[in-house]
Amino acid sequence: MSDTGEYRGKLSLAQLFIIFFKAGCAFGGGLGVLGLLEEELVTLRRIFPDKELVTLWSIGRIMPSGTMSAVAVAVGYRLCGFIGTIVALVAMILPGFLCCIALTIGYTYLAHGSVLDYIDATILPAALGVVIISAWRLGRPIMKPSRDLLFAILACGAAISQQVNPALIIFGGGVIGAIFLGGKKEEPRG
Amino acid sequence: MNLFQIFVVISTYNLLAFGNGSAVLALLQHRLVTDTGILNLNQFLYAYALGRVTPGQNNLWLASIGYMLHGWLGALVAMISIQFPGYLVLPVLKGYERVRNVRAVQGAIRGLTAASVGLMFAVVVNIGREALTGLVPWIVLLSTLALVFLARRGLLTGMVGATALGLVLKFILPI
Repeated sequence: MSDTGEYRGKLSLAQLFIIFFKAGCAFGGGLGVLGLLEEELVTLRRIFPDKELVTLWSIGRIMPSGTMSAVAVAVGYRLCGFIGTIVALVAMILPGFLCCIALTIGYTYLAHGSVLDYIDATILPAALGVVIISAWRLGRPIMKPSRDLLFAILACGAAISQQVNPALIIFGGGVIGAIFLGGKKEEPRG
Repeated sequence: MNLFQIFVVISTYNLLAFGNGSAVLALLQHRLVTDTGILNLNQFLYAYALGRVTPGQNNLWLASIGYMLHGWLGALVAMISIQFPGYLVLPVLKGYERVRNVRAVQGAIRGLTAASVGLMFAVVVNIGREALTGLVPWIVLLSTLALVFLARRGLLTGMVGATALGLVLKFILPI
């Protein structure tokens, strides 16, 4: 990860707002949002290396806050300073916030209807698609036979079993990584 | 519950739960429904369900709780309560910049990254269990992947296109 100065001035506040607003329109929770951020910042604009975004996300996961709040603050700060953190946060939460309020106002009409079932059957699988693409794109750097991949598989298994808190899995990954992955970078086999 | 109490309750539970949505859900349900009866269970679960069907982060459902408790101001206060701890990442990143060349720290970041990638795929499995409950959801999922990977559309276009197809299928197919 590089120093913040390297990123300053690459985006205006308006561009930052548009990128985070678009990301905030993604379904699929934090990973859906992360997927759209990856598309804009890594794939299309090439502002961030892919590993940097996933590292920020990892650090965000061990923060006592919503993961994407921490990511928005970190990315906004790197790109546009403190004002960038506010712009990124506001832009990211605005679409979901307004939808939530609108649907809360419509509580009387919607709570007992089938609208939510339709949304579940259509938006949720599309959001799953976004999450799969996001996981694939962000995980690509370690998708080769290595100890990193082994760690990822173990973490995945622990999380699927739902016996272990995700924050603990990430924290444990950091501690074990400090012990076993601190040497020279492992060359991929094959 | 006044605005200050909304702020204190939501931010405290959010911090205690380390942003873990399920834990916040359990704590808030106990406080707002079981203990005080400020909201009934239907209202509470409806607000939580909104987090699944609205865009953005999952924890935005707390805006709905804030709105139910105190209107627009309540929603705004709820949002501020869950967003401000995100600023704790700034001192952490500053500290990280100082030690990022230390081998153990590089190893820790590799470990964090690997664990995060594993968690992403676990999320895929967990959402998949809930979402893929019939033919239409499978078609929507495969259409999203096809639009992005084969037709090379953006993620947002892929998602909106596949969702529209799903809605059409849901109306015309008796499944």
